[in-house]
Amino acid sequence: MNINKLFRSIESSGFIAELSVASDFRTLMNGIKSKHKIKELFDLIDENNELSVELFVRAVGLAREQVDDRYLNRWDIPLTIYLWMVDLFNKNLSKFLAIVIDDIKNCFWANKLARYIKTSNEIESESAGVLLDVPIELIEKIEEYFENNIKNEQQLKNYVTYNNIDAYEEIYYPIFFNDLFWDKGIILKPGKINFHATGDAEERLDLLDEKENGIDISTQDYGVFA
Amino acid sequence: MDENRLLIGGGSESDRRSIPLSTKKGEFIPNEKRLEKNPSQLKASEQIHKKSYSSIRLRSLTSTYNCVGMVFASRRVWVDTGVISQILKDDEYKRISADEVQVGDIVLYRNWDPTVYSHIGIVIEREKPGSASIEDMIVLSKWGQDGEYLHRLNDVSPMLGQAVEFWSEKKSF
Repeated sequence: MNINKLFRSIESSGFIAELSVASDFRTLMNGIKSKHKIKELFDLIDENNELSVELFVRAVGLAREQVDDRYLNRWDIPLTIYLWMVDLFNKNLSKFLAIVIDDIKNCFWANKLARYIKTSNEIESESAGVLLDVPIELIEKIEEYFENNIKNEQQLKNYVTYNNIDAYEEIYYPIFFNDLFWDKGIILKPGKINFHATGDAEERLDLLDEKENGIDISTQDYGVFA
Repeated sequence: MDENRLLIGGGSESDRRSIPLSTKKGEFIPNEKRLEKNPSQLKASEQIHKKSYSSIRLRSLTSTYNCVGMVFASRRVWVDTGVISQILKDDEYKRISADEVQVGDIVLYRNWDPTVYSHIGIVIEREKPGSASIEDMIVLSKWGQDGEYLHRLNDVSPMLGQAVEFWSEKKSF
């Protein structure tokens, strides 16, 4: 089974229902590990570690999906699985994913695992500006993924509208990824970004420009991190 | 990963998501209020479980408490299964054999980990009281974040484990 079919299977109501009977995290994790689909996913990524980036991107997509705030996030269990799996293969990526998932208020298991991973990896507090050292090759792989997969114009427009970017001529998809961590005060080594924007987005670009090679940043320098 | 470090996580006395809850000896029981699952998801889960476990009958469909919360916290919160032993001790429960089990006694389940309980339920019916067999018991238990079901003792998801012990708080003078 290819990785996308596995994703769909893991996100299906049936699969989630089988695992949602767990009353504690040990039981949940034991249940996850006992599933054939999970073993298949593990083996796929084990054979080709680059697939951990696809897993990461899939998880980020779920994490950013609009959900009904009144209820538990429907992706709580798949997000827990993906975060755990990303953490098995790629600690650099799991740090980021943990930050994203910890920010989702209506998850339960996934939030707990995210906090655990953040604590384990000694990630600084959410309100502080931090610069995470990501290997440039990894960023390139992620950028390549977005270039190949996020080409839907409507998807891009939705993103631009959502983020209040009023005008643009050209957007390189990596901004999607960079921006993801912006609110957390985290800047990845940004690579080449070239588009026109207004308001907050413009400020962000200036900042990214100035900090192009991953130069250290601090809370004092930029009020937005306070 | 040390999964034991993830025991309910928050849920301490200062956690706003917890409620005052303690054992008879006054020890605080960590607990957490939890969001409701989307009703359509709850319904879908119910249908899936009913296909897999023929004897189950739904009593209530909500995700705001778990099996331990159902038995020890009046269906208000989630309580980690890791604290069951402490509650049994502090609340002066006594382990009993299958033939002693009466309606109202509790049943404990274990799955992969032999050192901790994975599930708990209340015996609500015995077709053959006093029998050493356990096949006649009907249990009420809460299945994680899904429904509260009446079911045959071991007609539960493998994740919940198998019934291993019976305990009772009953007293007679």
